[in-house]
Amino acid sequence: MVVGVRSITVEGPPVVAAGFPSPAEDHYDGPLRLDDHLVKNPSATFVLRVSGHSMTGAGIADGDEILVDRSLTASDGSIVVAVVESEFTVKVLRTNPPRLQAANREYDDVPIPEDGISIWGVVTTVIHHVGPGGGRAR
Amino acid sequence: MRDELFAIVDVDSMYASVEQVFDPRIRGRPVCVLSNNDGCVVTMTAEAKALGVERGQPWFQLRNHPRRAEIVFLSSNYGLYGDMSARMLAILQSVTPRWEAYSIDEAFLRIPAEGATATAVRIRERIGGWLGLPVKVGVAPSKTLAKVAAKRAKQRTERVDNLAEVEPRRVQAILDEFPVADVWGIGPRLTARLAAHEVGSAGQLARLDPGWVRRNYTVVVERTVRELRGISCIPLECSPPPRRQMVHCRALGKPVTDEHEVVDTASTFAQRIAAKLRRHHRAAGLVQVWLSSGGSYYSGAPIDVHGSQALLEPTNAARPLALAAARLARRLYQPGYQYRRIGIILPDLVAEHQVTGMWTTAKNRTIDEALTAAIDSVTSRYGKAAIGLGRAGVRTRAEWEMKQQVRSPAYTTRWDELLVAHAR
Repeated sequence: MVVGVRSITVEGPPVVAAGFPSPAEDHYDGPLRLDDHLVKNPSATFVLRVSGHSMTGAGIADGDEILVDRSLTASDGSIVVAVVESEFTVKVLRTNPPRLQAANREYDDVPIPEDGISIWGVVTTVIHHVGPGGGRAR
Repeated sequence: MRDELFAIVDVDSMYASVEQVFDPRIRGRPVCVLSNNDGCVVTMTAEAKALGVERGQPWFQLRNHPRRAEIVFLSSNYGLYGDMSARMLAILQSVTPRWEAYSIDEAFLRIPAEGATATAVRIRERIGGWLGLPVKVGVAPSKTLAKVAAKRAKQRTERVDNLAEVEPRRVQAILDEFPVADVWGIGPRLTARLAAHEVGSAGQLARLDPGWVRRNYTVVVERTVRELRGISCIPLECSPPPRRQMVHCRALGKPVTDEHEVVDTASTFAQRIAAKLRRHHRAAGLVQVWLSSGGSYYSGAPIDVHGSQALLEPTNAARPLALAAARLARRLYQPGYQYRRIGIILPDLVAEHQVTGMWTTAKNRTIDEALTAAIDSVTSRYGKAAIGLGRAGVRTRAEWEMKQQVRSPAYTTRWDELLVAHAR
């Protein structure tokens, strides 16, 4: 009777059950993890989809995904998601004078009223899919 | 001075609050979230309460509410609430590893007595800031008193209450004003029995002799008495015991009469429960199917049947469980009834790693493993309804599925339903 040898992966390079141990085994820390690299605070981080062209100068295009960290405090120059007229809006925060600035000269600034504005979170990363069809099916 | 205290963290009208985090248009408005079948109100905001909406009120009554147009009604979006709940627990974990998830919107914590109020404020600020969810925090020497403190926190502007900081005589006065029906673990039946013994407040309950309570009631009520006296008897349950049984039972959105539909439904439910088994690393060796028609005055006597089938060996693969459920449903089905509830019950679960595999042929096992892996990888990306065996794979909603007519998007769990940030 022939016993089939199955290959098993346990967080490392393939180890063949009936074979020799891989020489890489002791030197392998696991694959690169995009989650760890891109998300510092998972419980406070949300992914949003961008709609519109006002942020192209900051490398944020229509249809991109942005990572928004709600645990960060926004300061001058932060790219933020703010609530403007009951809508989520992505803009650059400017403090002097207080306003939300687009990263595209064709769009006007939004002044921040005296009683302030609600900042939903701070944008940390942009995911921009490239290539024909935008890289992945949406 | 005690070294450690209990804290309970409780999200204010959780489901409605979550919806408001993701939709600024409904902030500050009366919001009601409806149950599974859009049947009745399960959560509402204070604004909705002010309009006279009550928890448990059926939707058909509210349709004619005089201020209906002002109220926002939403179907429940459990995927979203579950994700926010998991985030909340992760935040609590960053404060202390000693927490217990009590329900989707409540958790108990063990925190040092020193600076407990400041810790509670910090927790509140962190969950409020990071998740946008309003919480109240009750702190006390026992779980039962912490629940009392949480009720008090609700009335206070800072939304935090620490009973350990209140002097004992004042605590007595607080408990004397606290209705016994609102005490954690005291249900309507116990409330009625206690009323017969002229116990109407938490304070009165706390003054009863624990031995007498144990003899005349139960050990559980005796524990409540001691807990109200500030002696902790109910410890933190940090890891929930492994699941011994699992049930997937739903009221169907529309009654089903056709045999094929009954069988398809049972098969689909079995596949859902199989996925849940795999998430919990459990396996089932026995499948029960339950069909019920819930008859009415006009439709005659109801039918309520169930049957079970033992599997050759425990499994959590979709195919064998779906096959067993479908076979049982076919056997139980009787024509001429309107089926309104169908359930799958797995009464006796074992750990996944305890399955020996000696009764399954290698070929079948390979098929089941490959099929299960394929299903899991598709559903994790495209959602539960994207693929399945038989009718479960039909993308259009089967007629019996939840109505969920006004469900918000799965903002945090589906790439194709992300929250939109406008750049204009």
